[in-house]
Amino acid sequence: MNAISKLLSQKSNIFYIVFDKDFKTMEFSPTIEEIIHDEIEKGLDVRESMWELVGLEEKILKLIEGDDAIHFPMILKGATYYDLDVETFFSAKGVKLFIAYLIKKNKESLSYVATIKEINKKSLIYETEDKKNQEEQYKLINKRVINFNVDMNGMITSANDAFAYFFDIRRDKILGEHFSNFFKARDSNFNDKETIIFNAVNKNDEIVSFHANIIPIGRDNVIYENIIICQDISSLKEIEKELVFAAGNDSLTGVANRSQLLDKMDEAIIKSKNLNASFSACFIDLENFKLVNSDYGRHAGDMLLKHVAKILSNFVRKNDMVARISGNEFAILFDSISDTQGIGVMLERIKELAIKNPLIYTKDDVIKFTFNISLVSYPKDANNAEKLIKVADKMMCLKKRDS
Amino acid sequence: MIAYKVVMVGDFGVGKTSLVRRFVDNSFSEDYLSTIGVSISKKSLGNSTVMLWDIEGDTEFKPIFKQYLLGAKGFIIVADVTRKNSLESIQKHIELCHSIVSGAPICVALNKSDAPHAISEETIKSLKSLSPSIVEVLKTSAKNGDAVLEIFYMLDKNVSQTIKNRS
Ligand SMILES: Nc1nc2c(ncn2[C@@H]2O[C@H](COP(=O)(O)OP(=O)(O)OP(=O)(O)O)[C@@H](O)[C@H]2O)c(=O)[nH]1
Ligand SMILES: [Mg+2]
Repeated sequence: MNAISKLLSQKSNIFYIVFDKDFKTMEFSPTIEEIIHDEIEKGLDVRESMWELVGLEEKILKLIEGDDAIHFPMILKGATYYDLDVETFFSAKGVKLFIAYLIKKNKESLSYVATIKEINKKSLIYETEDKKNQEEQYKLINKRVINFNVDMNGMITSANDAFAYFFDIRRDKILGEHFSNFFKARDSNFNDKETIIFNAVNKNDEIVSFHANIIPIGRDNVIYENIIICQDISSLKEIEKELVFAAGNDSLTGVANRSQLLDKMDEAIIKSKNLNASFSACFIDLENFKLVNSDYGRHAGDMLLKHVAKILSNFVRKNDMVARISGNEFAILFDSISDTQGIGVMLERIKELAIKNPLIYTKDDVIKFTFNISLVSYPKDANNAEKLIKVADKMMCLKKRDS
Repeated sequence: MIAYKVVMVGDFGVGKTSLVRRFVDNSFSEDYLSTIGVSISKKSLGNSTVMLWDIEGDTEFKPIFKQYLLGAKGFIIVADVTRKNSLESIQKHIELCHSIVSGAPICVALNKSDAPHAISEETIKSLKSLSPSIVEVLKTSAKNGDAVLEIFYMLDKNVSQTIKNRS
């Protein structure tokens, strides 16, 4: 026993109680009080402190006759999960004793718990919200949760119906196959990974992305299998993309918005500082925009803005950024043009763009427009993004007044 | 004083945890936090102490882990009156309980009875006839407390009697 208890207490995530065939507590790990509900004392009935053992008396006594050890996984105490094992052994005096130990679960099991909770929550909503379709809905969501086991070589040892349904394949055709025949991941090695993104091609030849949780199962610190739970996240990924885009882009024209421009300018400032370089941005005021709005209506105004965004985007180089920063104001952030001559040519060509590309509103209505452009450079005009925009605004006003 | 084990069995989300919470500390929450694995509570009832095993519910992709049922003296099978699926699962759960502890007494809780539902006396009768081990079928509500104490006491009465008769 000494050897066992020493070994066990070395690992702070293992707690144990030793008891005899009358269920009297003999010994326990010093830290066990952290995790049991009642007081613990030598000589007291072990069931007073380990409620889990109530009802198992017969099974426990049968351990002496060589029955398999008792194992209960995932017992929740407070916010922590434990596995409970009960085994028998000979004491130093040659008496058969029992040891119950609780092993704290590792992090993997927590991400697994969170996943199942989410799935169940969604399933319950589906089942209760739409009574008419509840059965279909329920089946649908469960069909989406693919769940299979793989051994340490990646061979599939069991799979649920959702797996067979997704690939439209019989279950016996799945077992014994390598999982990578079905799911493609960048890394085929599961060790040390809790989650992974898989792609798979379904029976309709569509590529579906899955978020997979990998739960190692094993005993005595030896993992012999992994359970893999895959959730279809294609729809989530689409939504996420849209949200990210909406946060950084102008909803009317699709070009970057002010906030994305500011971010990009901040980046450019850091880059310039590091390289001891400079960069420029030009701010473009769409003149007579108000007139277009009042003469032709808002629809024409919107069309004009889209038109301008398009011609500017077509004109700039790949790494330049076009942004709409207010009602009728656009900006272009040039990626690394520092010589003034190059910029001068660029600005002339932008002005020409407006003249060469009037908006053809209807067959008879061609809407002409012009640009009022000002140019600012870092670090010459200001040392941060907001200030650069302010300087540009000021220049713009001065020009308007002069003309 | 006797101590024994009771396991709550049923589909996911039917209110197993909520019934235990209502019974043990008279509380209720609208939030659904699904149970994973098992959480064990203790409750004293007159002459007995019950260890209540609140286990994770049955889902299509993750069946109940049978081992948890070992050594139980009684079961409470829970269904949700608003979800047909969960009512249809009762039969399957009875079989599961009896495959581990044959003939153990069972109470059936038709939970969420505070919500609109269509459970007739007929249905209750036919549920009772599913097995001779069924002690009682009651409409319960963990939300407003209806029949929650009754169902636990009913099972306790039955289990205590069986234990006494044996000793
Ligand atoms: N209206 C109503 N809602 C209830 C009742 N009992 C439980 N609920 C709700 O139903 C949902 C699920 O309840 P739980 O007690 O977590 O269900 P469970 O059976 O333990 O679920 P699993 O642990 O996933 O198997 C929660 O949102 C509860 O608030 C009830 O009597 N009436
Ligand atoms: Mg629960």
